[in-house]
Amino acid sequence: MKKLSEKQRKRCARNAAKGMRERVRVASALRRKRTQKSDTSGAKFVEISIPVPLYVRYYDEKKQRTIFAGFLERVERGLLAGKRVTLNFAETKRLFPCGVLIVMGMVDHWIQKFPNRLTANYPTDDLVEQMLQHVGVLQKLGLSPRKNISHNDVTRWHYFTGMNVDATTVEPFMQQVRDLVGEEAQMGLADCVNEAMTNVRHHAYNDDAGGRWWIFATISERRVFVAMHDRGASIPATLLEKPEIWDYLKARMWRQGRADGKLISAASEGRTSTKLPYRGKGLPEMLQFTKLSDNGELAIYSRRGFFRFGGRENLESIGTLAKPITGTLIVWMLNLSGTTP
Amino acid sequence: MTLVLNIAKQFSRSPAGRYLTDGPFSGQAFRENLLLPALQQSEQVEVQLDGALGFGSSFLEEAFGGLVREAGIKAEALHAKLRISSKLKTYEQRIWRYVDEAKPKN
Repeated sequence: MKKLSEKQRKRCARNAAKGMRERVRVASALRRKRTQKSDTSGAKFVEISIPVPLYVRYYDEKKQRTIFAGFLERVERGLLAGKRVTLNFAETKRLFPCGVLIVMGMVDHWIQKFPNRLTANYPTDDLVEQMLQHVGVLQKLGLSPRKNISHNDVTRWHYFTGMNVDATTVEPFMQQVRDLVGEEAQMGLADCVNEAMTNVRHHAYNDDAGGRWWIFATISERRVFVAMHDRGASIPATLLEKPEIWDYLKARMWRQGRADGKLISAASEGRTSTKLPYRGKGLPEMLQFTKLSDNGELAIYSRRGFFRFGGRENLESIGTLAKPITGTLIVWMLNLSGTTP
Repeated sequence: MTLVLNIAKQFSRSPAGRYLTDGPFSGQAFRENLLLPALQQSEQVEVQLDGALGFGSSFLEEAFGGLVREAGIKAEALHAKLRISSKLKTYEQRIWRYVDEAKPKN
């Protein structure tokens, strides 16, 4: 066999690589064509299916929170790239309250921003499907409800969403809490929830249009869980709109979000963007109310930071999130048996 | 004569928020639509808090502190004319603290 010269050998290698690139290009074009479908308006979209994590969890579990946040990022990227996204719940085994709350917020946001571009598969897990149907997520994603919602782990959860400050929305839950723990402790909780709604209106969505919030809540025995989420301006961002001298000195750290936990902690101690003496009482009152509760916990996640109070030793802790959250998530877990406002 | 205002019955079981733009049952709405007219009409006004499911400090501060700050009524005059009625004494104390700490705008 004739031996190739070095020059001929290199040319052959180049041609082979070129041929391989061409074959890959044609194959991916064919794949795209196969997955392209058109919506009712005739526009064509590439379809992708993104698996929802095994555990939809945000509170308390760093690894699962990061996986969940990564999933949300993938969906957002897919939609921004003009694709039609299917949320694949086939592998999802368990939904946790804060995870559900964030999914509710994200789904509302995606449906509004990318109409007709988001859908889902029915979950394989019965409880997961019941819960997603209970909070209306499946229906929003175009799937017909097919479960009889009966499991106590689903029916005991109340969910509410609204615009601006309208506490009449949460009346059924507050009445249930009052019936179980009495007027005094219930009113302390309602004061906190009402004030959180007011904070969302004044700080997160500080314009005429206002904005939406989501609440997920339950009471079991005398233990209350309330989580509230908004997708407006974060606590660190709103505080830095009216900076203090210290903020200028720390400007670089603030910009990178490395100290967001500290800013949230400052807000819970009464720092407010309005600088008005009669404002900024909301978060300090929530913290005070939590401190009065046995084993009470308060956690606030906003932008890249979090602030937490509670645990066995009633410790305050702050930290940085691996992936930022849009808006703010506030979580209370309170034992209302011995709480007085 | 004492004019009685029951927030739960005459305004809302779930009052919340500070300004009119916040929502339908804000502190400003209560102050402007019910409380101020009542104070102008009657020598004595009693505000009953029982029956409501909660308030929030923004509602209470704007409704009662706002009487001093926005409506220009002196805190001493309010102490003489206004009575707060509630099973939970903490609300009464908070309302009077908001009134006493409020400063007139002008």
